[in-house]
Amino acid sequence: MSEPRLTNGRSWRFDAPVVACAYDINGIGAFALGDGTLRVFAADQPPKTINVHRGAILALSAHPEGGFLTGGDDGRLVHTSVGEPPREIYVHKSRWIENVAVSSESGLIACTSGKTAIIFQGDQATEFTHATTATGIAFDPNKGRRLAVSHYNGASLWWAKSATHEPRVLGWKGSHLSISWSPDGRFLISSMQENALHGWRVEDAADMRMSGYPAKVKSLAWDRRGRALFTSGSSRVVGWTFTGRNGPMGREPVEIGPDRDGIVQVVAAHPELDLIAAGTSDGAVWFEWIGEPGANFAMLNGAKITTLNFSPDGAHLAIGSEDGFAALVQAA
Amino acid sequence: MSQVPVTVLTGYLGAGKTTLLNRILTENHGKRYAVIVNEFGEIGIDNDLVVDTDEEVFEMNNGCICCTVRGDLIRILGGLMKRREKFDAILIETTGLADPSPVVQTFFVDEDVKEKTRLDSITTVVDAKHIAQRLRESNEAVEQIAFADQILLNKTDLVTAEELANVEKIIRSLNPLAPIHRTERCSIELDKVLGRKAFDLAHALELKPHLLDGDEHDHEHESGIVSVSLSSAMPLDGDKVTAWLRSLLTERGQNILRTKGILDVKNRDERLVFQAVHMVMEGDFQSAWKPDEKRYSRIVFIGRDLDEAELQRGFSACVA
Repeated sequence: MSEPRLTNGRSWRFDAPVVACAYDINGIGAFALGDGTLRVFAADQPPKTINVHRGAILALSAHPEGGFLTGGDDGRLVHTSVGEPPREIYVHKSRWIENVAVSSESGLIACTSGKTAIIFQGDQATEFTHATTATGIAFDPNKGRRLAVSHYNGASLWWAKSATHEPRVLGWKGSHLSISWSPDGRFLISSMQENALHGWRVEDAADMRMSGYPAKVKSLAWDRRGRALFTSGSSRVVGWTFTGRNGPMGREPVEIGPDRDGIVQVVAAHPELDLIAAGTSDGAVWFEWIGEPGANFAMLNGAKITTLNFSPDGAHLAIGSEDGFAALVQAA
Repeated sequence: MSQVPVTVLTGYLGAGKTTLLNRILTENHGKRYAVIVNEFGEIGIDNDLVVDTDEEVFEMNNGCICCTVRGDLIRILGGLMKRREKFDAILIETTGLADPSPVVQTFFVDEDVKEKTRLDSITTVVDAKHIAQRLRESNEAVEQIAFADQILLNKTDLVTAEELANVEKIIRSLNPLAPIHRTERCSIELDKVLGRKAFDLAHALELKPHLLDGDEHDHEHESGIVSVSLSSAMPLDGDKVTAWLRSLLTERGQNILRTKGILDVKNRDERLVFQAVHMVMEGDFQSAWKPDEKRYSRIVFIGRDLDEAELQRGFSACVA
């Protein structure tokens, strides 16, 4: 295995794939790994290992109360705060927890287990069941009381309060693999099996198709003002405009970054600047300013990049890859 | 990192799949298997590497009407790859009632699955005592045999020699290519079952269908599934044969379950090896013919309502 070339940062090699990365509300970062551990890092210290899951961690998010929320293939949903033993919130043996979601507005947390999405409020768990597997979940960005769930042939919208009501179903034939709200809550975007995105205007369920990708779109990043959506799935980052009532309908997307052989796997948008970071299938990470062509490479020659996250203050970019290589580089 | 081999295990309820799975999971054979099952309760083994799933067959919006994939497998294989170092190979058990096509097509259609795994074989477990009746009752039981790369003919101790010979004849009429292993309680050396490389084009250097003798040739199974084997000693025109296969599989792919071929193409030293599952075809030039080897082309189709004369005409027109 050749060592990746890194400019300007610290790096580690873990002995399991890096699945995800997140920063908690106190600015502490964590990599989630395929061996069930979290590697928690702060300031200039080396990462600390916390054993959380028995198998692989499949999903990671910052917990609204601090620390991290993880789902694993051991069927457990766990809250890990630094300095405390991990606390199990839910377990269903023989069913993986493949997705987690949180809302800082409502303090609600949720996960998926097979066909069921579960919302947790205090000690109370409410289950929302679908005809097929719940493949992605997201709380609405306004009040955080409405949960969108992607599944086969569309998405369902549930109010967190009660599981007894019928969901509002947004239909579109095919296999939807994940779901994301626009930051203003006006649009829902799903990624599909057929290398395309599908969008709905929430107000009237108007459909939008965003297609033409050579690969599946696995990563979506909204710019800090919520005016554009940057996406993976092509050799360059593809950006769709979401200003105006019609969003991207009838408009050509913009392309950002160098045209290389590798396919962009992950995209991240800087929290304060008009700066995009992308990680590729051939282990490159680059930055580019929106509207100013010309990329700066932060990394080259690594393994497939699996996660990219800007720190909340925008000073650093955390990088994780499939072969266990992880790094923290200075942003821009 | 190398692709993980995947064995798909099919077979009607009660044929002995669970017995075989339990053997693979408990015997000391030096390999670690991740197992994807549908009837979790049946496997009485608490093992981190046993994953339960609900079969979810999804249609692809790609204009190919018969193209269905297993959405659950795409997700689970992706998840398993996050702890890739924990196992050497993967086994997928399908429910007794499953049509094998969506499972197999998943490995040809999904880019992520293709990148990380390779289909090793479709292995079908058959109950020698009850299969004849199953085949009359169930279309899926017929397809499971027609699709197979190898067949474990199990419970051979429960039938007479004559019954056994008859069952083999029925199996051969549905699938002339798959080797048949006779077993009792699925007792077989596991390295005969696993690591077959049945979908590896480089591995397919010859194609020897077990054809039934003369007068039995026309006895087609009541399911309508037959196999047609074509051969030619004259070299073929590479462009013509490719175009013919493409249009044939596009038009008739719904009825053609599997196709395998090794072709002698004019002006090429290497053999053209190809295979298809319904409409999804892949092919490549593989190792060169040896100087003393008899060069000839052979194609075997397994499918429903195949018109042998029409296939023969199409094939003959490809001679260079």
